[in-house]
Amino acid sequence: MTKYGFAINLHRCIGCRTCTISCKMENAVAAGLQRIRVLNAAGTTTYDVPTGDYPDLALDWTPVPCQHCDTPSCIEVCPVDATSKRDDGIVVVDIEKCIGCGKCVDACPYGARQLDETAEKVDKCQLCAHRLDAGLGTTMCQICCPNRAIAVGDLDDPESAVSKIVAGNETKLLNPEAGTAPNVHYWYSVAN
Amino acid sequence: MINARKDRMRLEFRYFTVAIHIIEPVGNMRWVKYTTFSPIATFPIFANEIDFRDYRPYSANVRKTGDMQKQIHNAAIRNKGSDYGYTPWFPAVIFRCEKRRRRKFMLENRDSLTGEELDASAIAQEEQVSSTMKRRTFLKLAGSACATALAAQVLTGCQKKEAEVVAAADDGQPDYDSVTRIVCAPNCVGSCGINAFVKDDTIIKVEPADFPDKAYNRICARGISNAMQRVYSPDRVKYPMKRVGERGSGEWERISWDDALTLIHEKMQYNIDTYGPTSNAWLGMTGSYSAIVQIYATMMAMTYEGTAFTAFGIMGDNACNMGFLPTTGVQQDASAWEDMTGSKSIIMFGCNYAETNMQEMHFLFDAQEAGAKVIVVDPRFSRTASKADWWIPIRPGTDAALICSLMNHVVENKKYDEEFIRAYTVGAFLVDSATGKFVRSGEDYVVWDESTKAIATVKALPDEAKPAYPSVAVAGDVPADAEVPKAAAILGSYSITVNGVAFEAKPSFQLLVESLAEYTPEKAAEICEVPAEDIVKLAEIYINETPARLHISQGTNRYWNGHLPTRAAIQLAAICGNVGKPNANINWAGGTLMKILFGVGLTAVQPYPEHFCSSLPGTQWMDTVATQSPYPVKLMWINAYGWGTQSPEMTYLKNEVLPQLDFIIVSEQMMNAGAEMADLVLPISSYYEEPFDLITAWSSMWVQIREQAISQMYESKTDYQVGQMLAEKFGILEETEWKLDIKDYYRKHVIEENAAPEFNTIDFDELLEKKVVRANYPDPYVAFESLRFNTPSGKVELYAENLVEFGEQLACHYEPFESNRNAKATEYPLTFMNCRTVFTTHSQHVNLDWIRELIPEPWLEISAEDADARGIASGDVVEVYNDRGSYKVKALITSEIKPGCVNQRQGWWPKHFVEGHYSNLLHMELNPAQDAISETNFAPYDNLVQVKKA
Repeated sequence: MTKYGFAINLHRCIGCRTCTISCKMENAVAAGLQRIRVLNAAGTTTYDVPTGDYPDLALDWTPVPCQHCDTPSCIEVCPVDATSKRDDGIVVVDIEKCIGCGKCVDACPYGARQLDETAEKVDKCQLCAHRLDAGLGTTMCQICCPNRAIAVGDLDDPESAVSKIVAGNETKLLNPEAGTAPNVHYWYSVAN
Repeated sequence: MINARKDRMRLEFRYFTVAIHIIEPVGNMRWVKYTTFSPIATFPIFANEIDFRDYRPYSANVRKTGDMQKQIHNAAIRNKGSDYGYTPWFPAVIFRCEKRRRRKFMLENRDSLTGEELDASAIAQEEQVSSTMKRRTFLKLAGSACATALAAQVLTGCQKKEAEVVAAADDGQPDYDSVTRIVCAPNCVGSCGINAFVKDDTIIKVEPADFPDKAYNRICARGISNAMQRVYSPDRVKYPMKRVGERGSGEWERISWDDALTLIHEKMQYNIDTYGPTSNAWLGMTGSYSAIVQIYATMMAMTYEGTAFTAFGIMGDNACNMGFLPTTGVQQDASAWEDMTGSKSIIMFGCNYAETNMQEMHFLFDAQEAGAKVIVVDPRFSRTASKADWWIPIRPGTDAALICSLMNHVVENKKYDEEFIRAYTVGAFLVDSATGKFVRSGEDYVVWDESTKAIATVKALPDEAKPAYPSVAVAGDVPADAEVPKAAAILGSYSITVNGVAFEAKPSFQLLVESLAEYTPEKAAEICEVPAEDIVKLAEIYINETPARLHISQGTNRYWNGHLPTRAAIQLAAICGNVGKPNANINWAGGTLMKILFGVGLTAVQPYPEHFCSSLPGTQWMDTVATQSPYPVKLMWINAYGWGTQSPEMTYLKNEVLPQLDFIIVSEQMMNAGAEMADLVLPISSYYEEPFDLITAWSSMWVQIREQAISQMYESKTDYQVGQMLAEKFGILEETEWKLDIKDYYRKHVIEENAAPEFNTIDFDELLEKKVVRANYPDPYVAFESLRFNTPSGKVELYAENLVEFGEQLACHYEPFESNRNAKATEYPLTFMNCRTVFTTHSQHVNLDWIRELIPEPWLEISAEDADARGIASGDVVEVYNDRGSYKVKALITSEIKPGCVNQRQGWWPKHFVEGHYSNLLHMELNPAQDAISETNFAPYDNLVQVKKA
């Protein structure tokens, strides 16, 4: 089986939001919505300020795309079966079916879904499935990240770059206690 | 103030880098009329300072010229005989852009519709086209949520449309007509290759384009937003616009290009007849890294015998150059980014690569992951500092004291590299204690030979054996008489007699050691607010964790004393033997951008043979106009310069300078604050619309071409096309090189005639075919690898005898102009910086919707300590003010900034602030030592302010 997921190197993330903007371009994401949000320590996407007191400080960012969980909490809550998990692990929304009720937005423990109120549809990271399906092998956020912080690949293939990162490094998951078994692995290439 | 400045303008310039001089006194003025190969590095000079009257490409101390014609000749011979080979050129294949629907429609309907109607109609038609566009399904993928017809979206200013399915081809890309490789280069230093996907003459997406070395494939949020939103911004200047209301009122009348050119012709000709041709002046900046855009102001000034103001000083990038020049003879260089991997320690002063060189930051991560210890010295906890192994917060403008203290530790502990100092620096050369000048025997330097207990002489390295900047190629061996004896003393004090004259003399390294005595770690700790033990620890790392790399950049550049840290850093690297070595070195900026400009010949900047311009220092352009001295300047033509936000002394500019000008022309893409000060605004095309251009890079060795991706929008033209049209209006087109297609101009004048073999051996046809080639510099590139320097001696000139009268013969520290320890600080206690953000390049991206999602509005960064003392909370509107002006902005409390400092991220337009603009607060004080070296640097971080709740 194929199981697509991310490995994101937080040491290499400088909070430039190129992933966010490249995704907006690639996927024509509506104004104000972001499919991959780069959260600062305050959990927001603007006004990045360090934590700590001068000069004992830290600046950290966490890019948060859809976690393409093994057991996504967004599927069950959908009243019209618009959300599904593909065989390759990508969690997708059938936009034709979506009625924009927002239940999945509330159900996602990662804030990875946003409601496009104008279109009355939900909006989320689809892991650039159109690119992966066409054999490009990369997502837009991945090829645009100037610091090469984002890796995407098949977590079930031990030879994939993402599997090697997970195997060879201490990685962590966001909010694992939510119990959805997310597939975005965060790590630091240099001790933080 | 103005009179005092006039006097300082007449300082003698005796130590500078110039390329060409055309000597011709102007009236009874003591100024000489001259020009230069490299218009961004020209300086006014006195006729009596120079004793040559031919064209000389040159890049070192003018007094030490020698026969430079011979040097050109030798370089030419070397080129042909070198490994680079000789490349004949072939006629260029003229690139023609397919005429697309939008352009056709615009042209067909031009006469029947007004501008707004034309726009509205064109958009309406485009939308119709988009909606009927052939679509393929999305590969059964269950819909890209809320996807939009991209073409329609961008044309209507990114307004959200009804949900549609993005048309996708089997290749995973949206339905497109063509992919064109362009180069994004808005002065952010990257010069990133970009593949533009175009559908119906509209950019629908961009991706990073390939470089021969894929490590250079990259793009960023700014570049993406530029392509998708700046090109289509409602702020674009669409047509030639003539001012009809008061200057600055924003009231414009659209006029035709013919009317605009007639008006320019009329104004210029009146000035030529009334005040002389130099009353028409040009100032071009670096808003585009196009080689021609950067020499455009000089090309225009040359054609019409006007005035070209230089750019480097007013740009604010010149201070590091002035640390390099007296010491290494070149204004900048750096080893390749890849050379960082392998370093054990990387120590950076004023380098915030994560925000300002974000495209290159991954090379630093590569080095760090390979084991390099990264150390960042910066008053701010920058994004780069946050990634460092060690951040050293420092009091602003004091880096030179810290570096001198590192040298103090090196010298105290005898950790310097004696052999390197002796062989490759002037450390052994004896200095006359009475005059501070090198002791000379005839032309030769004098050393004390310990083996013979007698003096010996050393000849300067002959010019033909030195690399002729921007080339790094060297020929022949170092003559034996230019080698320093192995037993030459670098320490001590000697009573010597040279040709019957007695001197008390010391080796210059001895003087260096003595000069460092005052920079004890304790003293530096007091100056820099860095603990003494940290200074010692840093020095030990530099000594022991080698190869050790020093980096210095714009953060130190932007203080009035900004040349001092670079000067000190070079000295530190040199005494430790780290210059010219892999994974070590002193690194400032080493790309093709400056190198190609220093290599272009007279013919590149002189489209009209036998016509010359006058060149004046741009740092003083405002004073020149305000005082109408040394001669009247009545017309200013600005291009590629966001002068409405990036200038110092905006109040002075508006009140004293602009009223002296009869006519102001601004060539712009955007109706920004600079364009709004004009009498006539000319619409300039974006990168994606230019028929052809050639782009180099600030910090890498690539040379790229830019081809047309979409038709030129509205009635926009490139700067070069404007130059051609004006030449035609003046009736001189066929007599000038403006008649050339821009591609031929580049081929002939920028590449083939380039003085540097590294450029003139580029096969232009190969460049056209491949779109990107590497300039023929050694690969991997290690700066100063030949260990032959373009200085008078041919060595690292630790000791600069020409700067004795400024007390800067050796590295030293003095306070910034508006130091927070000055008396002025009692009234205005806060050091005001204006750093960039990672989201913008100067003023170019702040008006774009996507960027505004990331940075919604401007803010003033202030520490909690300083905010509390003033009763300020985040989000409060505050007034920032000093004796030059004030503005109002919201405050953001952040621990990123050192208490005692505030930071206004630069580039925001006046309309974005609550009131006023920060450029009102910035000074443009001259630094006599800098003017002696080259030209004072604009110091935008070196300003004291006070902040209060508004």
